[in-house]
Amino acid sequence: MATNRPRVNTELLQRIQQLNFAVLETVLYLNTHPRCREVLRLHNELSREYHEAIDEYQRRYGPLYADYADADYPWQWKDSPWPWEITY
Amino acid sequence: MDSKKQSYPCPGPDRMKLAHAYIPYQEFREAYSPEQALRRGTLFPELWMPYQPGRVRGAY
Repeated sequence: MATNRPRVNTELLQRIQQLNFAVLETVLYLNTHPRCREVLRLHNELSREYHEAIDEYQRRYGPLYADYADADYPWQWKDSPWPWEITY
Repeated sequence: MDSKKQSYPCPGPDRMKLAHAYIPYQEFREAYSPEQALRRGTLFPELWMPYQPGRVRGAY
């Protein structure tokens, strides 16, 4: 297996995981409170930050998700670090 | 405890249900930071209920 991969910035990866969870929470809340403007605003802020963090991660370390539409040539998904190769 | 066999009313249109679950409507006050939210397993402080062995149920 290739070992010459860039060392992952785990701070950025953890930020993505935190934002992913926070956005899931606003989604669940909004499902039962569709007219709560405050949480809707929070949801939009967190979602924006979440996707910006993913974009930044993918620019630096390659694909985080295999099903994105903008995959580069050559196919790089297989080169991304496996979860167990990341030291937190 | 009364060990005698008791009969309980069956659920029906004019009877109370044996058990009736309810959930109070959550009202938004504030949110944790995403970092704190992931740590605590909820974005909402009012839903943070850490398991504390030995603590009396419902005493939060």
